[in-house]
Amino acid sequence: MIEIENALSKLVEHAPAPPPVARVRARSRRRRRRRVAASAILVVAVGGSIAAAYKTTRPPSAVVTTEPPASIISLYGTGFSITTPGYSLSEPRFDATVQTTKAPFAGPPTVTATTEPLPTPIPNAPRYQTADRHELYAANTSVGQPVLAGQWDNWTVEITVDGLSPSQQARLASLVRFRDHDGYLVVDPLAPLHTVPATGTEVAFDGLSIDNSSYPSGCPMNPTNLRTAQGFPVERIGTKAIWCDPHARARIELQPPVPVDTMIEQLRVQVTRATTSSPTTSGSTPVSTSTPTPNTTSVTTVPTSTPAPAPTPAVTIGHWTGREPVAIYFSADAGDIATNLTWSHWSADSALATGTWHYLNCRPNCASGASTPYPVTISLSQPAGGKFTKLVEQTSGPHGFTMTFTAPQLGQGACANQNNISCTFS
Amino acid sequence: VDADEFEAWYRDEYGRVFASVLVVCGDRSLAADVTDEAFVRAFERWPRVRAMRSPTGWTFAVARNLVRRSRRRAARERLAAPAPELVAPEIDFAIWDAVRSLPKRERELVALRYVAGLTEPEIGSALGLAVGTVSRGLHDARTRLERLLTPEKDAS
Repeated sequence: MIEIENALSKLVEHAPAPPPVARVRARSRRRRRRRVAASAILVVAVGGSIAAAYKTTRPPSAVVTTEPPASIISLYGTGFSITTPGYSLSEPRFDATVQTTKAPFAGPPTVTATTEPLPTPIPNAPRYQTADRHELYAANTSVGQPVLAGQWDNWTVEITVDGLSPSQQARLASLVRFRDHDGYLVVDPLAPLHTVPATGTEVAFDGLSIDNSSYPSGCPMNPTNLRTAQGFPVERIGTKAIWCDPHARARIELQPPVPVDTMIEQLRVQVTRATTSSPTTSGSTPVSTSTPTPNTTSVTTVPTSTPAPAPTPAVTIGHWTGREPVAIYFSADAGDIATNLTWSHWSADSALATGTWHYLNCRPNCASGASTPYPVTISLSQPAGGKFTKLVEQTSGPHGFTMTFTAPQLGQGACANQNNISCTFS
Repeated sequence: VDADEFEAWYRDEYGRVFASVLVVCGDRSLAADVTDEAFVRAFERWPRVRAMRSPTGWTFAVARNLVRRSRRRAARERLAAPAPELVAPEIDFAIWDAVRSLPKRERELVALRYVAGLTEPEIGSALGLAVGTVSRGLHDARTRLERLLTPEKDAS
């Protein structure tokens, strides 16, 4: 055995010299750029249903959910990057990023999920509660990037927070929900992160777009041997990869900055019907195993002669009247606001939402005190004259309370979308 | 401090990881590629990697996975394996051939123990194996190597 050891040690002696460490750094920078830019997937849509998943033993998947006959609603607000767990797997992998077209923050945060150990918290840094009642804390990555980090089952999740103020970090934390589903880490942004694009491409991300306007005429005419994980033949035009999903009647385009065939070979994009249940129930969000259903993306296939159902009651809050507000202001200042509201149902006799309520500790004063998010439930009832007349706000956390409001004063104001564009107050 | 520490470790361990990977994959060019890539990944995670029981073992495990990935691609592209005599000309071909003929797991254990110089607990940590499994695997590998390298006595 000594003879063998001596022989094998010659391999070390004759090993090539290590490349200069500067080359390691340069290669790392290139990898990082590729990881952010070349990636793909996720997400979307109506009814708040969204799931992006990566499983340790399977290729990454994307679920794109649409709800006929409604317009396609695309997620916006955050970017998601899902890197594969550690480097202990033998499966090919890539990093997935979705950067959507509208971001409420200066730069879309990137969510990285790994199975590596949690980073060390920054001493005395704030901790934030997430929508799913996990905790995120401030930390720095190995390259010094500020992140919020937390643990979900076996997953370590890091969210970049470059340039985000503490209040934005708290808001960001309050938006995210993660869960482990069958080995996948499923990212479930809350429903209010939605917008309705006008026309054209129905779902557009940085690098991935899906539309049905050019299906099937725009499907690959000159496919290569490259196929997606679902077996769809891919056409390459420059770096762009195009394929069609005949089940979903969708044309899918992926445009990484460089050809990334391995990534495309592992990419799954599924277009499915939205669930009607609330995405706030963790088990109700569709995951990548959803069965694609045909014809879910075509608005034109909906019979226009179908009689519209009787309208459900609206609600008037301050000077705002509408349905399913995403934020409600109960006080004139920022003392009592319910945000990120997700409506699990809105029927003829009642409506129910969950969201986030921020407790302000007012230390040293309310203007500069810390804000801690807690879950809040909003229920509407007692419809009269086409409007709900009773609102119950039930907050949680150590300072939680329940307040009942009756018409005409159900609150000071409300917003119809997450960017507070259409907020109206008394 | 981190950067200096990484650089010192990188210079010390590069050859060991390269040689260990070479034993496992039997392809000098591939071993160099995946070793380079593995050290890039170690660099990116250095604060965490340095805290591991065996940073070298972790880097080897990364490289080994990259080898597997590359092998699948090569299988798809039907790439030919390099000629054995070009892989490790510095050592006796019979020894090289014997080590290469070991089952994959035993080859990994031999590489980490006798090339990278890791202890059995460090190997267990790097490969996710119990120390007992490592010990048994190394024992089996040694027995197999001795049998392979001992001239058979002619029964006649």
